[in-house]
Amino acid sequence: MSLANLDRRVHVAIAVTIAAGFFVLMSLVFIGTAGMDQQGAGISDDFDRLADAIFIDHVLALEALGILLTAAMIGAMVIARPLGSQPDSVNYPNKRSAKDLAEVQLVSDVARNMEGGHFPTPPPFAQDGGEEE
Amino acid sequence: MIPVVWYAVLAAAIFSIGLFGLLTQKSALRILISIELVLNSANINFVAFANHHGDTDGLVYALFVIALAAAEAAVGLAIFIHLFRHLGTVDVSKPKEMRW
Repeated sequence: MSLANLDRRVHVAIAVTIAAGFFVLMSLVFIGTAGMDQQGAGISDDFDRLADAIFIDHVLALEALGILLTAAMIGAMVIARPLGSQPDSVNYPNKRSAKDLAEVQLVSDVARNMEGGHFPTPPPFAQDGGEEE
Repeated sequence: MIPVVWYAVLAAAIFSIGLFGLLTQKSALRILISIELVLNSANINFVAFANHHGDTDGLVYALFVIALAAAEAAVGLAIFIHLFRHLGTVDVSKPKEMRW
């Protein structure tokens, strides 16, 4: 049985176990570390130090971050731009409606719950050349 | 002043909630929110330990992580818009191909 075919409750139980395990492990490490229960030195209200840290010590990283943000903005605009004035049905001929996808999900859920998990008919995705799970 | 261990435990809890969301959710938006939770838990640790050690470097790193999260959210949302135009849903279990 593959991970994708697991029952939803089993999936959630595994996720809860992993997340809770991480939380307990990290908490034990933090609590067990010496000096963690002491009060910190604190940061003085000195904006000069923060400005020096950003614009002198880490100025290269700041410039790289500016380039990264610009690239991300341009990339997001390119990915999400509308493709001309034609309707979506022309630009995206393979688009399926939410209703179609719900039917596909229903078919695969029913097949998964059947004894043996046999598909009576291939799902619509497979008919279009898509891979079956 | 609150001991730093409480900030660390809070960050661990937020990280665990984000990890749980990443492992269980199928909606791309919920996964994006879970990623933001994970990044913000790192931010809490950065700021708490910067305060603990009296050093400003942690604050600078937290600023960088915030900017990184903004860039990641912008590209992620653009991909989701593209996905929705093609499939009519942002369920990450639906797309089976990397390109159309």
